[in-house]
Amino acid sequence: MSEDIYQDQIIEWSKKTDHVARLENAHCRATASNPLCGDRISVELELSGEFIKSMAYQVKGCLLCKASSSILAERAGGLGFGELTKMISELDGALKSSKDDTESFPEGYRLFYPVRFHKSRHSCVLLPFEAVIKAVSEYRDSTHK
Amino acid sequence: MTFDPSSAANEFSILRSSGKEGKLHYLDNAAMAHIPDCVIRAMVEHDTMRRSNVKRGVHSLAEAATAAFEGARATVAEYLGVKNPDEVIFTGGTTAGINILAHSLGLMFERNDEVLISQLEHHSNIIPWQVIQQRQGIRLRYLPVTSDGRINLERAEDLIKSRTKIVAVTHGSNVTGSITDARILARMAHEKGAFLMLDGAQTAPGGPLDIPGLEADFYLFSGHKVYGPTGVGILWGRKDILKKIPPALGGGEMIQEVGLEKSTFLDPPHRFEAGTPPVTQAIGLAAALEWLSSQDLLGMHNHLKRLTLRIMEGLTGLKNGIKILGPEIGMERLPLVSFSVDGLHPHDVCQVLNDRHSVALRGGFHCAQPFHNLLKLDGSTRASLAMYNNDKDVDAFLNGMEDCLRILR
Repeated sequence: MSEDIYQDQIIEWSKKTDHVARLENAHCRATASNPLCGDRISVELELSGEFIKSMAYQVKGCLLCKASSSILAERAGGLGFGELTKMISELDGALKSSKDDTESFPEGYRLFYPVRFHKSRHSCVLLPFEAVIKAVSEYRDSTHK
Repeated sequence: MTFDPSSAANEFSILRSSGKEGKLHYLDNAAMAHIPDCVIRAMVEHDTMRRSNVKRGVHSLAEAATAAFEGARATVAEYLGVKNPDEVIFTGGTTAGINILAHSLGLMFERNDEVLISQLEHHSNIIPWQVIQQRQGIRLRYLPVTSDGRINLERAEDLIKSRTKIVAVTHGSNVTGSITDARILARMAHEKGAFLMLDGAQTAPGGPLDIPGLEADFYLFSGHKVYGPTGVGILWGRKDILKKIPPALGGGEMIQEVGLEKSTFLDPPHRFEAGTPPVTQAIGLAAALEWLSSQDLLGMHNHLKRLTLRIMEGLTGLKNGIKILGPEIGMERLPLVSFSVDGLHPHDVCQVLNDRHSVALRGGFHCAQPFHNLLKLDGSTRASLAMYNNDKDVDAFLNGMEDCLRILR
């Protein structure tokens, strides 16, 4: 697999704006930012029980952060909270892994394989997940009181 | 005689080895310049021949180390153009120096006293004063910035008030490359009884300074930007002022007498150098300043001016939503160029230039987030030069930018 970060696939995903929106009936929202590079993403989620129904976001960030946001929003519908946590953990592990394989990346995220050689950019890919986890966690904390 | 950057580059192991592969185009010198072999040798020689703690030992090694350390202080004084080496305080770098100054001077501040900085400052000249502001209830005021990235000195007269204790600004901006007219500011500050501090981190690499001519009261710079080691810098202060300032940091090496109830402190500079100072690094710093002073400085200056102009003209020619920050072409600036590209994040630009063209740039806020906020920018990309850079580096950068715009747009 090519080790060039800026492959067509990533660039294409970064340009998609299908889910760059506001959700009028959002159950929760959160913002995550990376002080290193100034990436900032605000997510809004519509929930159905323990599942995400839909996700929308606003992002100011690099191409990797935009592509990752776009993919996550596309795949978020129907994801359970548990699956979401598992996914970020797998993605984080795959980015940190020293193994030369793409298999450890969660489905849909293999295009980020070349990013694993650039530790300073891992957080760009993970930031949208952080925002979603934060939104869900805060929502669960507030509803379980 | 024409300045020869390849002859300068030849004195750097890292550039010699990367040059063989034709790879490294290092344009991140405003963050850290490389270190010539003679500086590394000076530090190795010290640590292998004279290593010992300084100031208090009576054995031969301690005396040799102390002599070398104080010799380094004298070299720094000479570089600054000041007569008294005791005005030079060794610090861990510019950030550490500003903290030492802010916390020490801050002990003399009263509630509602004012500190005037600018919107162009590096975080290292914002945060220490904010800490003092929170701790002591002083007021922190900001000089505005002109549209071409200079500190707006026309506003200084209004903003320097009778309660202003210090005006602390950059001597040369690490983002816009603009240079502050220190003497005008010094005179305005002194008229109101305030001190002037200049952050010289970006100006010191240009060669020996004339501190008395700048009329500043405090000046700071770092070793790693003047072809020296990391972990060392200097805070220079006028002796008559330093003598009146209490130390904020305490420990060994800065005391006269210690009692359980009260202690007394040594005269400057020692009272501001608590604990074991960065001895080897100070010796490295002195070696770097001596090496830098021995270069063809006028030739170096003209060389860097020409390369900077090439970068600016090349970027302007690319158009494509590129906006150069700071003084316009033809105006005085440091050898660095920051720019924004519409629709592209600086980290993407830097990554493409690194991965595909072996050009090392810096992207982000450059530790000047308030200034970028002012411009409504999420960061900028910066190319910064040192004496060893050449036309091939600029070619690689401009070709890389063209490629970057092609693939990311």
